[in-house]
Amino acid sequence: MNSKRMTFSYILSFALVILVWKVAAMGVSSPVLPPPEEALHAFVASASTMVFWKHFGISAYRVIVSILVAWCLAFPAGIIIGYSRRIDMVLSPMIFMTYPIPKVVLLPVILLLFGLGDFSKIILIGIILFFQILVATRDGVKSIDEKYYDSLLSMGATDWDIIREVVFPAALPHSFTALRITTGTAISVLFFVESFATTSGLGYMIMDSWARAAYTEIFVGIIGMSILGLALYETFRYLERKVCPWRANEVDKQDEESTATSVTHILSRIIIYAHMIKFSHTVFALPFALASLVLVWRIAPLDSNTVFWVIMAMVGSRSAAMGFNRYADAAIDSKNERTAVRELPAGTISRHDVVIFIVLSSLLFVVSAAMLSLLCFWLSFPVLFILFFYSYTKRFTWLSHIILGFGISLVPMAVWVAVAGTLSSRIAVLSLFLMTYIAGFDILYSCQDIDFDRQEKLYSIPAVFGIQNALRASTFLHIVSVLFLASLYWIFALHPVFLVFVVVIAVLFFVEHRLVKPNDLTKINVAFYHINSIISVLLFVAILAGELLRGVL
Amino acid sequence: MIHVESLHKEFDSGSLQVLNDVNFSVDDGESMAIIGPSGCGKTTLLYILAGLTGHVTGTVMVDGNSLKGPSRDTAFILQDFGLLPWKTVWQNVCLGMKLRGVSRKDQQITAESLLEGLGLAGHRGYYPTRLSGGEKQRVAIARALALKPKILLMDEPFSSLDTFSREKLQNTLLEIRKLNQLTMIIVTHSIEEAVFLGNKIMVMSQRPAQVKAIVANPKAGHPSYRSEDTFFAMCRKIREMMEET
Repeated sequence: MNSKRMTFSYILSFALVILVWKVAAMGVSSPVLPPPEEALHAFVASASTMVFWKHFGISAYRVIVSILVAWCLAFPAGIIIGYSRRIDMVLSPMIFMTYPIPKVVLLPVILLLFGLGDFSKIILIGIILFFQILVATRDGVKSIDEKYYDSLLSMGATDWDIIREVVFPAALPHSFTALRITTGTAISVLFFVESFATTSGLGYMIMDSWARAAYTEIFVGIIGMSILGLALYETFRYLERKVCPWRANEVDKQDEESTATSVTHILSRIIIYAHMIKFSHTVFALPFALASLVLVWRIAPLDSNTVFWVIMAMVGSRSAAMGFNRYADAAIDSKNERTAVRELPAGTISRHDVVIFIVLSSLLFVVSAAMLSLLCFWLSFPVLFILFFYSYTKRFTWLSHIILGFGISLVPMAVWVAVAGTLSSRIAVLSLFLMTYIAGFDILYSCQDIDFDRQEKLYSIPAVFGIQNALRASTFLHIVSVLFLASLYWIFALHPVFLVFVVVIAVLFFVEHRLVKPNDLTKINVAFYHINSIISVLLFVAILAGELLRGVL
Repeated sequence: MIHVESLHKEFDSGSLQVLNDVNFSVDDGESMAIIGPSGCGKTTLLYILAGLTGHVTGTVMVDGNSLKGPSRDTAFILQDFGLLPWKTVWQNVCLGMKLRGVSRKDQQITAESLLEGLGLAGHRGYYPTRLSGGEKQRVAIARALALKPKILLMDEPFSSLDTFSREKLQNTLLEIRKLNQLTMIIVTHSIEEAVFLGNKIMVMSQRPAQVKAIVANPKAGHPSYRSEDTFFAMCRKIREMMEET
């Protein structure tokens, strides 16, 4: 897996954990299982104190020293046992006999022999890791193909030559894999040894919070340990690739192969879906919802639950709409060179799977709406209808751009209804900004497909009125949208700094339009995507700053 | 010169007889192809000649001396080449020289000219997993030649290659042999390969392997031989011998 996909998997798994945690916390509804945002908040607060880092540092020290010592002893021993048949015959039965015995039970003995300090803790973690690494290394040496020995022997190699040139490099990756896999064990044992007879370390922190019934703090410790484990795991992974460069290809291959196994398989599917619906764009659509939240904050109190379900509703509705759009347009996309690489026409995802995906996303949207209010629940159905309906509009009207804009412009109004329980003409102005903004740049986007649209008899402003007119229409819409945006300043009595941001956004619009020329549309894709993301983030920052600084200065 | 007389080899303390009274000799600069049914003991014979398998009865003499172990004058290319996956092309080629204590500077000179000559100059930093079968075989040849051997032993050197790469490499091998005046013993199960490469073709029987016949094949040694009528006649002859029981 490349690093981009890795990062993406991490973000997705993280989101998944948070979601499950959130649902579980709501289900349990007990202080023992605080909601994720509360735990994360407490964690961030802790992470800015020295006490937390002292505990973290001591835990890290104990586990890292244990690992280093265990590896330095186990790896050479594993090589010798694996290579020498005679030593193997003597020692292996002993190792395999004692291997299944849980070494944690030795803790009392070790504490009695070596005292209560770090030394005993390191010894216990070290012993457990030692056997894991030893066995993995020995098995790794045993699995070396005889032909490597033969080819070296035929060149007159000595035992030492063979150990240096064959056994050592062949066993190295096995020991790293063992390290990677035993990270979980190492952290578990760390928790065990830190859970008593000590006053430092993350394990102590968890047990101490437990004793004080400080449930949120338990989770601060848990998050700390998770981070420690994750950091170690990734370090070993990195080292394995750096120290064993010839394995880089194999490791990648293994990753591809293991996509057949459940977790990675699901993850890789999620990534494909995320590509399909351009999930990253959702992240850039979120600021619209967040900006609306900031504005509605003034008239109604906000709690973390509302924010959470608003975001879920946003993700659900956008995924459903985007998925449906790809589904409805699969036949059209496959004919267009620009879109034929999309996942559905390209066959990466089956139609059946997409239907399931759309249903699940819609469900997420409806459930999130229901969690917000009953009114939202009922309104979620017409909203879904509008979102799905858009996909068909380009078959009969060139107003399709406006309908798309309208669909997205529902966000501020929906947020307002969700939080305040009513509609307001004030927030509608933000919606009008979004509608004209999105419609304007959708027109620019569709300029790329003008020939295709004409040939397939699809309706779009460029296809019906020509590029020149389409660019004019887009310019007009964007001028109007800047006016709507600016008017928010008076409507919501925002701080003047808001106007500064409006000017910046207006300049970005101007740049966008300068990039596109009737005879050169090549700049549309990449530059646009970036500028639009900046605009959407700026919008949020503008409203946030305008709101927060209100009354100041 | 290699001289083998009444060679016997048994495995598992006598329960598995592999070679039964094998006799042959190969002169300096000559090439002999050993052909026989799979599992007959050809590879064992090659391992014995490489000094990797001992405990034999009979005589194995190389240049008048009885063979005691791997010799500095013999290079052995194993089936599947035996390239170390954790070493780059360059490191693999230098490996034998490193083991024999050749100075770094000499290693470099030799490796560079060999890689150049075998068309591998651009691949020196690659790990074997990135190479095609033909490229791997050329690296293995380079590694063997780097030891400046007098005798080259090869076990099924081209069996995993496609026809085109195989014939190209067979031609390369002919050139190399001529250039270095190598004595060569090659084990193969391909009749065409045996006829194309061997001045002598030793046909072996089922296990325990005995020598059925040693056929002189003086015309071998030219790339053009492959399309001559005498080549096909020789192939037919060898095939008939192998089919005889």
